[in-house]
Amino acid sequence: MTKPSLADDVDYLRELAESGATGAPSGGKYFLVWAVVVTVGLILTYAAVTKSLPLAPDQLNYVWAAVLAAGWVASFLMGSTDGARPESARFANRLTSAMWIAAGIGLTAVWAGLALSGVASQALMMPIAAAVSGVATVASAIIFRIRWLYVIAVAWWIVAFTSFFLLDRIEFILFSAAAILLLQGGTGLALVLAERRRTA
Amino acid sequence: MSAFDHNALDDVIHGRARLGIMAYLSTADAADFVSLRDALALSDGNLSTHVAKLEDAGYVRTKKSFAGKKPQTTVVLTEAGRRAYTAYLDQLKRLLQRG
Repeated sequence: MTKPSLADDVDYLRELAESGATGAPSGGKYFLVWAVVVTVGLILTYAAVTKSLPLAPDQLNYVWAAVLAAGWVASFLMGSTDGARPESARFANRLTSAMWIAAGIGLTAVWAGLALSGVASQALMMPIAAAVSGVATVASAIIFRIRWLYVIAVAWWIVAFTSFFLLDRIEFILFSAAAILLLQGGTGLALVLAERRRTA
Repeated sequence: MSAFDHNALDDVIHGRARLGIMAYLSTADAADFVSLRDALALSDGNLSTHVAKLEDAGYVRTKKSFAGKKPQTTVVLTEAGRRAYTAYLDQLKRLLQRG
């Protein structure tokens, strides 16, 4: 093995190792599921607050408990079949999957704390969730080298900031639903379509 | 660190294509056959042959599954494969240090 050929081999190995490290994200459907369940929860909340639905404020906690439970059950059901998929076995996908699950557990814990203690408005969930989603989205952008995810992360943080000026308005619920659908659902849809194109 | 010993180079990994497979899997852990084929720019038959040699050495294992009705093969790096790849890189490093 001569020195130039060794240098070529090392470059070749580095390129392959880098492409193996990134791969492609396979979690778009989870984004879609959570966008749908949270939007349903927000629409039910809006309907209750505007008296279109005969629900007392404390009954909304049960609605949200059911909505979050549905999201987790759907996630675990999808996860139980994902193990066999080659893309899911990649280190990058296992890492980001663990990160998003951890983020979800953290947010569920914050919601439960707010709901059970009553020390602060549950409307605070939106800026907290948006800030956490922004952080996790940046991490995903770095791991998968997807530039447009940085734009989504910044959008999440703008939503987090803006939320504090809208918290006491009824329209804030619709604003939250729109943000979730656009940022969470839109990201999920783009990732699912990209995955379908790859595997077609 | 001991001196470079060309006899210590792992013949199974030493081929460019097999080394490429090991490099790719060293960071991916697992990859489907199509991704590997595209990343290494190999034909299906060529990749199959190299994967079979690595599998015989216990460096990778393959898993067959279905995506809908499409059969899929996943190639997974084993612990023995990771150790062999690391040892191979150590040998390369010694070669470089020898000048």
